[in-house]
Amino acid sequence: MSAKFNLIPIFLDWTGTINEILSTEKEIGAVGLKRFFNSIKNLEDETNSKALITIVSGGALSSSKARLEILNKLAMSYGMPNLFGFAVAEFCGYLVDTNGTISILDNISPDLLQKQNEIRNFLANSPHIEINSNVTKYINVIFPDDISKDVYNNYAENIRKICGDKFDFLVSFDKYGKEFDIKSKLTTKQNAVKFMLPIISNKYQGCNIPFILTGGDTEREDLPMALADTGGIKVIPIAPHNNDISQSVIDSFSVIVGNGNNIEGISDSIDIVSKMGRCK
Amino acid sequence: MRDLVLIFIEEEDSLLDLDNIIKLNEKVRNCKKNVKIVLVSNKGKVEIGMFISIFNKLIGLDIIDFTISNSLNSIVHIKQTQDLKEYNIKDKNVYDFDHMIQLLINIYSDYYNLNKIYYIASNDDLFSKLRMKDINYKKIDESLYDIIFDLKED
Repeated sequence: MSAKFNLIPIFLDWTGTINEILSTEKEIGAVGLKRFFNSIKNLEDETNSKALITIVSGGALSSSKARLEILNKLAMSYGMPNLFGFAVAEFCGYLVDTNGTISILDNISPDLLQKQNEIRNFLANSPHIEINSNVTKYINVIFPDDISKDVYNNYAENIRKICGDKFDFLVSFDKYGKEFDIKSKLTTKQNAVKFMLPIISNKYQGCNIPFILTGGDTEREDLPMALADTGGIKVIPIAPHNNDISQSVIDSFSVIVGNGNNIEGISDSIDIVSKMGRCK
Repeated sequence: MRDLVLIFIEEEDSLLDLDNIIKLNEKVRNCKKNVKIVLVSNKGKVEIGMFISIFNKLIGLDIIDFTISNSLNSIVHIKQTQDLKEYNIKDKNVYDFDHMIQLLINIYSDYYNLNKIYYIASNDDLFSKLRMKDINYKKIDESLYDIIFDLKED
């Protein structure tokens, strides 16, 4: 593409919770995804732009690559062959495009690698608890499904002591899984947005970026994407009406919250942006 | 015991069509029989696991339970940890294709009255193996969605 055209990069969290994201309370996933695609089409029409989705995930490269491939095929069959462009895996560690080409965006730091060895030694006598070898840009400690909260908390306390305060220590004990993530404070989805913008501008030379959409359903990793260094390009954070986001965070980030959970809410928030017609 | 239409399909990507998925959901819900799809795929475990997870959510049904990896000679169940033990399936190179097909038919026969088995393939190689078995099968050349649209008449 060489002629000047408007391009709206959309950075969307689309993590291991995809089953939930695709589900709505009222409809099957296909109806929800169709509505999502239609909301993008409407955004493109209203803003005279093309949308380009980058999936930003904390998950492993292999699953992010597979997810991009399937969503891209679904978009193609819906007449949107260029909607999905990239997936970023492991927060800001890897980049994969729709051709399956993989690039490294960021590397694990040597001091975190050192901690990984210490944690591995600590877990040596703990059956079923292990460091996920599929994740390489941060430390992902995974647990069996049947672990109790008390045992989990005990491991958390000990591993937190090993790691100290230098790193981000993310705990997850919910329906999606039981795990710890220990990562550099710079290994963030916010940095994924920062790293990706020059790549997008380079690939789509001559494009004008009127604004960027960033979306997700967690305060901790998704909404801070709106704080990325974009070189002055306006960022509009969007979110579904999930309970995970507090009103104070919504207010402080000026998040556009759509009605409905998951993909229904994301689609609705995109509709709201379209009505604003910000770059007509 | 409820009737089951069991569909083996090789080209799983042909299923990725939202409008047809929505129609398939309606047809299956209105059909008097259960419908299950078994993927026969050369994709890796992560890729096919992701496919099953997304497709079942898109259609709003647990319509795919298993995939058979023809290249790896393995069977993968979407709910692996528990159910593989239950079915005594080892996710190792211990089954050839015939055994995998037969094993899945046996598993489903424990729960359903197998009414009809379809096998959708782009070539006759795998189908010819099924032909050797004494099962009620039907090969068609059209897409999965063409089968489903005939379900009521079956």
